[in-house]
Amino acid sequence: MQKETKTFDFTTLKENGIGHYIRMNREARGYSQLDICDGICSIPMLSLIEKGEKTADYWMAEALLERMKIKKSECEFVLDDATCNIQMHREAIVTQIQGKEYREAEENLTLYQEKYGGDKFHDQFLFFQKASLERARPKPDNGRKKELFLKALTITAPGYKEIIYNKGVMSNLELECIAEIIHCIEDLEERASEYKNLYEYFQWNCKREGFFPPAYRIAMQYNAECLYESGKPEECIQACNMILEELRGTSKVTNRVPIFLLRAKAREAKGLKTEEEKRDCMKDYLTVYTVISFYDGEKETEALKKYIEEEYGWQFTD
Amino acid sequence: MAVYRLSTTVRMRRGALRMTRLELIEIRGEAETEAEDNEICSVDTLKRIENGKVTRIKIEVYTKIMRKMGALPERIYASLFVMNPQALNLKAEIHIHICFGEYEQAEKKLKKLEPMLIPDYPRNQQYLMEKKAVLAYKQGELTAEKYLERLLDALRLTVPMFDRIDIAEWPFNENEMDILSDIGNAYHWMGKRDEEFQFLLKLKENVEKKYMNPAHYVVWHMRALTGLSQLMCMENKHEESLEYCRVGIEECKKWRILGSVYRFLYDTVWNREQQIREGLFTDGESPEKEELLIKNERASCRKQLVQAYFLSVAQGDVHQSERIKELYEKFFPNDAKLP
Repeated sequence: MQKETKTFDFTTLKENGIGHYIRMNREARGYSQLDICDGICSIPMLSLIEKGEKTADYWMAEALLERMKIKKSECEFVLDDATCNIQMHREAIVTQIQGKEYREAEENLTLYQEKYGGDKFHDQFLFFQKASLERARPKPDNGRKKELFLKALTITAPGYKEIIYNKGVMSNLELECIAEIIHCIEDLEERASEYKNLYEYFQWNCKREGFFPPAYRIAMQYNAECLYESGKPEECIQACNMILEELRGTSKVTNRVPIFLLRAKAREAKGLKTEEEKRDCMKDYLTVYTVISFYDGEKETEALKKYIEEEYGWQFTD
Repeated sequence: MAVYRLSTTVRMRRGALRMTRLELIEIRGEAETEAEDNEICSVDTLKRIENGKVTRIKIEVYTKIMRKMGALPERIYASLFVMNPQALNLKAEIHIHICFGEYEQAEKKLKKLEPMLIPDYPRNQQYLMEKKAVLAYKQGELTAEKYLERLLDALRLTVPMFDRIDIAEWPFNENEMDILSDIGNAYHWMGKRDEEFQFLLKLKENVEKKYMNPAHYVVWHMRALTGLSQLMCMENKHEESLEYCRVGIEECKKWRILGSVYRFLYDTVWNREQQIREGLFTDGESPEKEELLIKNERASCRKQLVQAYFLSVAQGDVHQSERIKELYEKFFPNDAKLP
C-alpha cells in the first residue's frame, strides 16, 4: 500500500514515542482508529494517545500494535522495572509451557493471576496461556481448551465472527484463538469449511499487509490436517510445504514437528512409488524423530523409532 | 518485541562512559551550584532511576540524560522507520536471504526497500549502511578492512561514543547487535584472530549482563557463543570450543532454539574428531581399552552429526545441511548415507 512520503517531526516522535508510533503505523496501513482500538480502548482514548495527551501503558500499546500485526522483531521498548518484571514473568510462563514444564507453568500462571489478574490485557494473557498449556498436554481436554481460547478471544474481539466475515482487522493472538477454536470442531466437513473461510481471510490480509502473521502457520497446520483426514494427501503435502517455507524465517522449534509428521503421513497415503519418494518420506520421519528426541528425550520417540527401522530400514546408532 | 530495562540501560551507559552521577546530571558542569537549571535532575533522582525505583520518569529528564550520553532518547523505537508496512516484510526477507547466503536476492530486495525508508532517520541510515556493507563484502566488492570501516561508521550513527566505550558495558539494541556480530566476522575475515577473540569475549560479556528480555538474550548469546566456538576450532583449542558448544547446546535445548543448535553440534563433532586424530583419547591403560574408547567416541560423534543434519533440515537451512553432510561423508565414509 503506497502512501506519499510525509515530512515527519522526529522531535515529537522521540519525545512522545508511543502515540506517534501508533498513529504513524496506523495511517501507513490505512487503518481507521476503530479498526485498531475496537475492544482495546475507546476511539477518544486512542485519539488522546496518538496526540500525546495521554500515555498508553505498555500492555495497551502492545495490544494496539498487535492489532496492526507489527512484528515482534520490529520495535523495541525501554520499560520501567515494574513493567519489565511483568514481561519477564510472562516470558517465563511461555518458556515453561513450550518446555513441557506443566507443573511449573501452572504455578507461575496462578502467581500471575494473583498479582495482575483483573486487568483485561493480563486476563487475556492468562486465558491464552492456560489454553496453550492445555494444548501442550499429551491428552488435551478439547472442551476446556476451546473454552479458554474463547475467553481470551472475546476479551478484545467479542464479535469475532462478524469481523472475519467482514474482513475486519484482527491481531495475531485473536487469529490464533480462532484457529484453535475451529480445531475443536468435531465434524470434519464443518471444520474444513471454517478453515477454508479463515484461509481466505489470511489471503486477504496478506494482500493488504504483504505477509502472513504467525497465526497463519497454526491455522494452516490444522487445515492441512483436515485435508489429510479428508483423503486429500496431495493438497495436504502442498499445504505443509507452504507452512515450512513460512517457518524458514523463524529460529525456534514451534510447530515444525507436526508439519513434518503430517507431510510424511500424507506422502505415505499418496503412495510411495519411487525410491526418491520413499527416501523423502523417511527423511521427514527422521526429522521428526530427531527434533523430538533432541529436545524432549528419546523416551518420547520409541514407537516412531521402531516404525522407521521396520518400514524404512534405517539403522539408528545409540 | 525486544524489551530493555530502563534502569539497567541508564546505569550501564553511565558506567560505560565512566561518568559519575553528578557528571551526568550537570548541564553546565558547574558542580558547586545547585540551581535547578544547572542540573537535569537531582543525584538522588538519578540514583532512584538507576535502581528501578522510579515508575514514571519524566520525558524531559529521560531525554536529557540520554542525549548527554549520546544515545537516542526514544522509549519506543522501530528497527526501521517506514511509512509503507511492505517495507518491514522486505526487511524480514532480506534477513532470510542473507542468512541462507542468497546475496543476489537480498540485494534486489534491498534496492526495493531503500526508497521506502524515511530519510535522515539514524536507524534507517544505519540499517542501510550495514546491509550494503554486508552484501558488498559477501559479493567480493569490498575488502574486509573496508567492510569493517563501514560497519564501524554505521554503528557510530547511534553510538557516537563507540570508540570511547568498553563494549562489554554498553546496552546495545538489536540493530546494533547485528552490526557487532558483523564486526566479529570482519575481524575473522581479516585474519585478525586476537582482535576477533577479544571482541567476541567482550560481546559475550555484554550479552551476559542480561539487560534485554530473555527471548532476545538467548539469540544474542547464541551468536557470541557460535563465533567463539568456531574461532576456537580454527585455533585448535578444542576444549575451549567444546565448552562454548556445550553451553550453547544447553541453552538451545532450554529455549527450544533450532537455528544455532546444529552449528554447535557440528563444531562439537569436528573438535572431538580432531582430538581423536591428535591422539588425545588415551587412557594409558591398554591399546584395547583405548580402541574401545575411540570407537565409543566416534559412535557418539556420528550420532551428533546425524542429529545436526536433521535439525538443519527441520530449520530449512539447505546450505548448512550440505555442509554437515560433507563432514559426515568425510568422517564416516563407510556408513549409511544421509538422505
